Amino acid sequence: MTASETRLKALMIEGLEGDAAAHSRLLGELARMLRGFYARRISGQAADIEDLVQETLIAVHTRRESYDRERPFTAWAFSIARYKMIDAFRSRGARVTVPIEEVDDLFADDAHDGIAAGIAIERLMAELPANQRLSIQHTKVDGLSVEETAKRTGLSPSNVKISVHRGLKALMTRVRKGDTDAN
Amino acid sequence: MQTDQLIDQLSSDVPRVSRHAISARLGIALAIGGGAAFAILLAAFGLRPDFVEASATAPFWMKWAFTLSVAWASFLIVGRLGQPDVGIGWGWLGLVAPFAVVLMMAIGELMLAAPEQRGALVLGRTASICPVAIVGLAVPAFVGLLWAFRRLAPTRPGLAGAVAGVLAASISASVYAFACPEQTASFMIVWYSLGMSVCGAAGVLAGRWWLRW
Repeated sequence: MTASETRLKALMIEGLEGDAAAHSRLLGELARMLRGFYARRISGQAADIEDLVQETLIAVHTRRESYDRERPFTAWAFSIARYKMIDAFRSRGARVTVPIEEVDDLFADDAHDGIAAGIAIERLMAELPANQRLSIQHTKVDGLSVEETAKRTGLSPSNVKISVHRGLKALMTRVRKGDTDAN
Repeated sequence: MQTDQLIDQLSSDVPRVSRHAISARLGIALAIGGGAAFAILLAAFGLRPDFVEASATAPFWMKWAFTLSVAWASFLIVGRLGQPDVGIGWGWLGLVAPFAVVLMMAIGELMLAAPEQRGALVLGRTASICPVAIVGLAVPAFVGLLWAFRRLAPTRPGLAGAVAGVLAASISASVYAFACPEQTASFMIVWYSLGMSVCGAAGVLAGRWWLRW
């Protein structure tokens, strides 16, 4: 991480000084990292992932003025990547889906502040109504079945399913809204 | 298109970017927008008739102290929100402070005034024009900011739009102060704030619509 941060940041700054070759190498390296980044988070066609990679590269290129040389480069680049991913969920909806085990990755700043992300998801979870929180906790984190969860919480099985669904939806909305709050 | 081709194409156009690119771009937008607003102001209202005499009084300068403090604070916040990985931070304090100061002044003013004069202190003579003028004159600067944002990366378009609306309105209010004959803090805290709030609210909608990328 720190090795690639140093290298990528140097390339970015050379690019900002007008060095086209450095800029080209930067985009090439980013393309490779972004493919991995999206592949881990989205279960979609390879072509969808490549579309997202390209959109992100275009955004990185056209909006490179928004990078402050005093700040970490990867945090900047992956903030753009995350924004593009959330935008894809919003606009493409059904074509892109997130496997449930990966939901908390949406919070993560790619190896940058995984711990902060853990705290963030706990905090967000805590804001959910109890039935949604417990349903998610039991079915998605503790790995219980819907029936077991229903027994423990006293909800009906279909209520458990609805609570999980609504709870995850509410989390997603909050991720979108609170995405950059950490700063 | 293949990603490699895309990279080649993007790399064919790599202009130098100054360290102060964000501020420079926002500054250009505001200078042009503010200039346009000033031209419209001269055509529509002209300077206040007592411009020269008034410039010797404190309230005349207090108005600019207020509008330019709001402008400066919101300028800093807009610069932050233009970066994808930077939040609003403590910047909101700087934005709230000028309103708090003028509010205190207005309360003091109203408490010292005779009860039957209080209405006049708040309403002045131009209460029906002022907020409309501030909103109208904010349009050029706001359009300029939307243009500036095309090169920036606001990950919270609604919020960025709101603060851009307040920034455009504070520039507009600074321009309108050339024509505005009112002298009281009570007038400013109500009508100037109303104009700025309307712009902020409109900015939320505009941001969600135009600042997504």
